[in-house]
Amino acid sequence: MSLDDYDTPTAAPVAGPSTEGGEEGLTAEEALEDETQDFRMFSKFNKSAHVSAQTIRKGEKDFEQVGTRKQEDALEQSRQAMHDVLSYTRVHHPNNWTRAWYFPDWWADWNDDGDDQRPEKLGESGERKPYAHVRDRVVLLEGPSVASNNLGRTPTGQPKDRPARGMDWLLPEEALFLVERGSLDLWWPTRGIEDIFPAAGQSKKDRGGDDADNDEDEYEMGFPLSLQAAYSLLIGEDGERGKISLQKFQVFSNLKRAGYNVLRAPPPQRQPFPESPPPTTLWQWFSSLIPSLERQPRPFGPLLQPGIYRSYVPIYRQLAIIPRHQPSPEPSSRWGMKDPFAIHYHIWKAAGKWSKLRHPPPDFYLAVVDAQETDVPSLEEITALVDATPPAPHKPEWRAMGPRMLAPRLKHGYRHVLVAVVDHGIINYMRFAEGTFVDEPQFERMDGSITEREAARLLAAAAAAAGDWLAK
Amino acid sequence: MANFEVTATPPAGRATGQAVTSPVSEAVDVPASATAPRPAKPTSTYLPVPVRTFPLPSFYPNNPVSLLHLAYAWLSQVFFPPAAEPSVVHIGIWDPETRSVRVDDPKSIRVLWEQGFFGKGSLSRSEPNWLKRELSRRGAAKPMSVSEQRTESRREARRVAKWERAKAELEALEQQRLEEAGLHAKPTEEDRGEIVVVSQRHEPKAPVGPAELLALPNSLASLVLRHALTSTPLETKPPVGPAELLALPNSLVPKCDQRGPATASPQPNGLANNGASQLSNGHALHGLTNGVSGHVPKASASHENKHASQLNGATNQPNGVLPPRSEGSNDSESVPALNGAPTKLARRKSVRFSPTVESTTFQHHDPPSPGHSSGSRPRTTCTVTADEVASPAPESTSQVSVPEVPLEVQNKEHYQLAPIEAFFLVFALGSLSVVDPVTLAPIPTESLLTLFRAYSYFPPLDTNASLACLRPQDPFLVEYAVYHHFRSLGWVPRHGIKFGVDLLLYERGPAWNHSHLGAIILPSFSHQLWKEVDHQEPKRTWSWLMGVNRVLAHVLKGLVLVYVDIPPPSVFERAMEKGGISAALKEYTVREVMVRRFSVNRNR
Repeated sequence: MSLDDYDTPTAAPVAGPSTEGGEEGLTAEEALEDETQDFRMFSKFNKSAHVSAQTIRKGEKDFEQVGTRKQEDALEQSRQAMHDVLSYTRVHHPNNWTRAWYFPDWWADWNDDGDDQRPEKLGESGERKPYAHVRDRVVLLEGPSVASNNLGRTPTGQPKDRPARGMDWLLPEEALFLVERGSLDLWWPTRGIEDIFPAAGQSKKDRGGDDADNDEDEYEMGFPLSLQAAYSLLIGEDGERGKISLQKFQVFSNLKRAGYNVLRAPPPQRQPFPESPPPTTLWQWFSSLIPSLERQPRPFGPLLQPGIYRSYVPIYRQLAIIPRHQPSPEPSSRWGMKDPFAIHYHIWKAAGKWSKLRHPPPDFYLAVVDAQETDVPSLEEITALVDATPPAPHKPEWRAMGPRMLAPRLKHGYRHVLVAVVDHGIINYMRFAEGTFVDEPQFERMDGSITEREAARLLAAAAAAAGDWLAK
Repeated sequence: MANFEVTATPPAGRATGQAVTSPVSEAVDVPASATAPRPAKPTSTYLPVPVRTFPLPSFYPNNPVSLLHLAYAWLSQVFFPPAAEPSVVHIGIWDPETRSVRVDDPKSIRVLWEQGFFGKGSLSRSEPNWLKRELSRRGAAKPMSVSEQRTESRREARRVAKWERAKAELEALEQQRLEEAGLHAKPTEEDRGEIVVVSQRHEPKAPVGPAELLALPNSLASLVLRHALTSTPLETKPPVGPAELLALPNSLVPKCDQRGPATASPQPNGLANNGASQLSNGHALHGLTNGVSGHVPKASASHENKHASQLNGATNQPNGVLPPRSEGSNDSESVPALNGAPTKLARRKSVRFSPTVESTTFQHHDPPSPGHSSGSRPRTTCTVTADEVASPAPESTSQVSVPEVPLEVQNKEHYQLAPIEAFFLVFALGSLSVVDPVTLAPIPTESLLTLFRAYSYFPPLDTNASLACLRPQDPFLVEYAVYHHFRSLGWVPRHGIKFGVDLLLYERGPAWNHSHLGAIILPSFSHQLWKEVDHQEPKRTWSWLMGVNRVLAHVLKGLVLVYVDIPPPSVFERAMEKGGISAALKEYTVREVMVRRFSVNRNR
């Protein structure tokens, strides 16, 4: 490492002003994320083995054997620590394990939108429950599970005699994620849902009968599916009901494993583009009649009128002829999102109180695109995508920090959206943000220092002149 | 970071937190340890654009003198009004061959550089300082006064530091080995765990093997040199870095022969390389293995050196070049000569076609004008170097002997403005006039626009034939829209091809701080009329975007995608008829999108 001729500046963590915002890590630091796993985290859980967190170091790397015993010992210690970590006995607790049934067509004719409009969908505090995606839910979770804390959904508003009422249904990506983790057993039903989960009326009697001879007819209702079968049932093309594309599942799984809370985004609502309202007040009407007194710039310049200027602000005002984009809370264009540049997932950071039904607005909005089939988004695509997210300007105190925080402010942007670019299973997350260059004009800074300097010079000249006059 | 222009940016923002206010020259990030002088603070001649302002002093009610001051300033400006700004119109010559606008007047050059950082010197990285560099190279000016030289010295310091670090690690490794050998020699009652404890007390850095040292460029040779130096009594200077050895010029062959293995590689004669390089390898390995144990057998080294020189000389002879043979060479003579060599001799390339033709010598810093060689160096380099070799004192050889007469150096550098910069100066500020290269008559702005648009294609479009071939999506217009957009916000955009982007955005200018943003221009055709003719915008792949972003992230810059929405031809033409280019530019919309990688692991 140290003899590497290419001295990478990213090797040392950079202490810069932009490290202050948690989310605003420096780009150079991000390069560190691809490092190997730090086993110190695991060794915390592994109390029995005496693995020191210092044993496994990150960073320096030996590229060859140098023949010292010290190196051999260090290698051996690292090996041992990794072995201890990996040999940790993993236990599947019964309450982490659950069974689920695959019923692909149970909600096929459900109207999600109609369901969403119903007044009883509103919670007690008046807020709307998150969009349920009931039509896409194809896996019925049997019994309560740890997974159901933040996955799955119970469709509400069903009649009492409907089978499997009040149980959690999983989306395909949720089910497949749990299957892959080993905490879900996906079963293929050989009987109808009415037999397996009878409606409320007959449930007592039937359940009792089932419990009595549980051993014999465990496989009477269905049989377990392999992981391959689960993949083939749940992975499909984009837009297929009850399935999910491989790219989206990979992104979902990656984010869940990284500890985020992820929910499918509701289908995009076309917000009506605000038409510019006609002038309403009398004064506006009057002023619209008067032709603007602003002098039109000369056709072929110079834009700058010759003259004496007290400040750079009027100079730069004359130069501003190209329309600029001003970030505003209203969407700036009438373009609508088109797949694949549409928001597919809402993402919350792991911290904080979060439940699948009650949560703050998402921290991030994410679109999933394929690296081979799509290109860098065009103006329409990226504008529509960014406009679909709410404004998330930088912290106000950044503004007070002046030019020192200029670059972080600009990089943060007004709105931002994540795009997960999936290339055959390798995911690269890109963050696109609406630029705020208009809010950061540089020419206002130019006058300050120059004025002071000029003022000092003029003051000296004035004093000298006054002195001369007095001397006379 | 070592090999390309990436060094133009700081290794981190960590270097100077106050970098915004403290002036650093572009591409210069002086590490705290380096003793290179800080560049001079930009003086008050630096303005954002070549337009002066005359601000009135502020009035403080509690200070009556300030009222006097204000009145004085105002009255003086009323009675003796300064010339209307822009008061000076500079002259630039359109240069169709290089597709740039050339400025020759030194005063104009200074103004255009200091007041808005337009353009670049043709022989410099950005600021036109070839003359300064040349003077300091010849010893007339204070050395290390221009940014290129500061960069070079910084690189050199880094090289030496790396070499020192590698050496320290090797020594630590050797120490470790000796220690363990000593522990082995003891009767070993102590078990293995205690050894570990003992060895951990020293906590050296990661031990690095000798073979890795071998992988360093020329490190073998430098090791050899190092040992040779330590073995000589004349240890007056620190060892030079390996890359400096690499940079030794070709014409040093006579000297190289004395050192033999260390510098035999850059020989012009391909024939000589086989024998010499094999020999050098053998010798270097030999030196390394010896160096590990701490001894260099002088006799064998010098013997091999002589052998090498004879070999080289023998292969040289068929080419008709007679290198001066200094027969009685030994270490004490050749080492100081080598020491002084990098600072003393300039790079030269000599090409000979036949013995009768006089050799022509080019200097490294010369402009590419084959007719003129700067005659400051004697052409008979061989004899000169032989003389220098013979001089024994290292101090005297390492200094350039400066003639007392003042140097008359003709400035061979001119200043060049890119078309977008020139057009901004002409069209927006009116402080430049572009003249025709033949007639020297000023080109009107309208024709200049047509010219620049035509020349933004290659080969340039023939605008005499018809103007119909010009379109609103001409590269010049798109680029200019973006350039004007950022200029009118007070930014200083400069060409960013060295970083793989279209523009670099500086906050005040490259003399103050490094740029934090690189901009990529993406033309966009979203108007309904474009859709009707089904105009496809150029597609950019994701891998391209990731590549650009990676490069910029490595130099701590952010990426901005600048989308330019281009008006359809009908709209553009109508605006051109109505209000000229001023109206037509209003039809272009510029929108910035900031791009960054998002790290899942760091945002939880």
